[in-house]
Amino acid sequence: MNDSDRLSLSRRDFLRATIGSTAGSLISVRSYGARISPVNPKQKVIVVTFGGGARDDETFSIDGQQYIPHLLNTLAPQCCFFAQVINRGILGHYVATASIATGAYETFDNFVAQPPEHPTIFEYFRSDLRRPAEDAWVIAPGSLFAQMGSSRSRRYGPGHGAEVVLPKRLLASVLGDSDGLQFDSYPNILRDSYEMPAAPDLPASNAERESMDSLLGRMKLDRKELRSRAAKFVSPDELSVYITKHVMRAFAPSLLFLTLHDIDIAHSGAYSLYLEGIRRTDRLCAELWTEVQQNPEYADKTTVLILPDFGRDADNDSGGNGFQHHRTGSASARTTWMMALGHGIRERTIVHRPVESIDITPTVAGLFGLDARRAQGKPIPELA
Amino acid sequence: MPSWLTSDQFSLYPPQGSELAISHLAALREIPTALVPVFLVELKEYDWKFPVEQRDIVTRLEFIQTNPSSLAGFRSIHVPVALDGPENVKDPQRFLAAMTACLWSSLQMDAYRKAADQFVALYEANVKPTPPAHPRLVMICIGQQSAQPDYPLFQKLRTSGQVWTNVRTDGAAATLVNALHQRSANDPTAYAHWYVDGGRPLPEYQATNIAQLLYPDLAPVNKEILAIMMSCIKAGSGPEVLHVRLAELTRHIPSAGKVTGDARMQQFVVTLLTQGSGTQIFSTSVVQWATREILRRAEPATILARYAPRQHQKPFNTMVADALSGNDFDPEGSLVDADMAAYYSYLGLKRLPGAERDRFLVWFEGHPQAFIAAPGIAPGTVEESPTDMADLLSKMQASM
Repeated sequence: MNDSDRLSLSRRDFLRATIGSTAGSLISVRSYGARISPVNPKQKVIVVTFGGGARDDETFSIDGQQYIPHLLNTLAPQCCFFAQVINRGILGHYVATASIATGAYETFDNFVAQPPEHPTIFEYFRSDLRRPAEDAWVIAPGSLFAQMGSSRSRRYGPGHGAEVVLPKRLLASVLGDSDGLQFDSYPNILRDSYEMPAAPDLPASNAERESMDSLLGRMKLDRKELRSRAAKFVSPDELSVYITKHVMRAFAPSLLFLTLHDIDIAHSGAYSLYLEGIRRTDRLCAELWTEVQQNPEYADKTTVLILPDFGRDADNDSGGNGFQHHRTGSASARTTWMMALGHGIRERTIVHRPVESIDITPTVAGLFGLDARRAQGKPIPELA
Repeated sequence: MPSWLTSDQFSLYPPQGSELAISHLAALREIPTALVPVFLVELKEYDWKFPVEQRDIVTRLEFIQTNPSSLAGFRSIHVPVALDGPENVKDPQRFLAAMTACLWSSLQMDAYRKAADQFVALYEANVKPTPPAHPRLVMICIGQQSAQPDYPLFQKLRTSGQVWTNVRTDGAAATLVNALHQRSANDPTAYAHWYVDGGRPLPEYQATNIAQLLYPDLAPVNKEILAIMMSCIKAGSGPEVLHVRLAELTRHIPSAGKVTGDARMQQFVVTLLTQGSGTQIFSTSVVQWATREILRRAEPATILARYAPRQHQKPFNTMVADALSGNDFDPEGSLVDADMAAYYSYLGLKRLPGAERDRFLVWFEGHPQAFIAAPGIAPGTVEESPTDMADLLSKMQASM
């Protein structure tokens, strides 16, 4: 048994006790699938990255359960849980998130904003199903992710990609023309990535503001409302979830990809802030799930996939510094989990066999009856 | 294999590092190119390494010279032509950064990690480390100014030692400082005894024969480093440029001379603040990273490390700008940070030669809770009887 297997078994055994699944529901692909319904023409999919890299130790391990009460008590009993999701690619947040969206291990420089090489799920979805731009959205944590909505592929590209919203930039744009409001009034929201501190280039340029104006107009998002709501948020991820819910209510897109990132505060070395990030992300995932169930456009037709982009280094790995980074490439950093909930998902099931994070795009494609032709991953039979 | 390595290339290295490189050129040429930058970085910094590190570098080069097959795993790693040439020798930090990026982007990091594990296993099987003459003692004070008496402390540590819940607080700090003084008086070896403090030192502390790191004293160096960080952030040069620029700063911070006259300590201070993540903004991160690096690099006999409250979380750029103002503290969050950090210090201690004899103590400063681990101390137990710090230290001593 390798380290990834051990992590998986620990999660599986714990969840069995918690959600009351039986040995019979510890399924394998050969026995029976977790998916219980055929492709639905009204199918919607939301992918949420439980962001910024989260370890087993602070999530689904015995010690970690205290930090994820919503995932554990509300979502887990309704989910199909994948206990071993492996990321074999580059453990940088943008490149890893882009790899989830393309179904292929992207190899570009993680710290340069650029479109991925392989076609994204948004491009397969929009191009093959002839869906409009408003039917696929990405809500991303920072400008590094600005181009993840479409690839460099000549066959696809931006004309077939997702609408990408960068909530912090959107808010900065709104504050730029504000009536006396200063950026300093929003210190908790306009927080930067700890791996990539932002150049203090706020407020936005005129060109960017025009682009943001257009986006605000299309989103029917009122400036005053955004300003007043944002002033109450405690983190960038709260703003991202607010924007996500607004997009769901305004456009009801069939494909939504939300990247949460608060947890990456771990790079500062402050364990308490890392734990706060996990607790907040746990709560926000439950909020989003509630929105899915209460919004008639989404209820009973939406499959939600929640997974960390990857883990973080193990405490006992001498090459790292524990939770702080994800640099060693160890099993703890590469192995994580996924929850699948909602439409077509068999509840209270646990899948122990390993899947890869690049299997998400072929799987989502399968849910829409598509073929992610250039993906390296494989559809997950329990879902697709 | 770097057949392009020649003696002339090391003329730009500091004298001791240059001499060592030239005298071990045959061994260096045996090192596969993927691993070479690691050794070049160490050779360029050799003159400012602690004695234990210097000894270890020589031992590893000698091991490679006689056991070149121990590096077999690295030979299968493909290195692009641009990284396989003599022009990389003069700037090993950039070489290392470029090689790391290449290993990730070519998806060879797992192969590299496996090769490193194989090498370490062979090395450790053949080179027996020298245990310390006397057991090490690490003492850590956490939770200064915290008002959380009920916080569940030592969750990660408790299976490895004994939790005490009724420790007398009067004189406890002075007892720990006295233990440090006594050990340093008995064994005045350089860099064997350390005092690290995230704030102002305990009043009883005296710096005689002790290597010390006091976070407030590092302010001049931190100020220069923060200015460089801000200029990189403003220029939008990106984190990799920032990281390389910081890594190159070793010894080139003029204000390091104001902190200490010891060249080794100057280099150590600069690397703490340039290569540690979060050390520029959080005092808790400095103490954790310093303790980790002292254990790893200096293999000391004694450490007394004391955490002070860090600043509250704010936007990164604001924290960089405010790092030196020091007027907005988060003692409760700092307690959680330090509790976890103490566990990491314990893990670091356990990686050293002779760890089975080492002694480890954590005290929730100003509160009656403490944790001790030493041979003979029953792990996973809780003691509620009254005691004091001197008694805890003597229990660990008696258990040897």
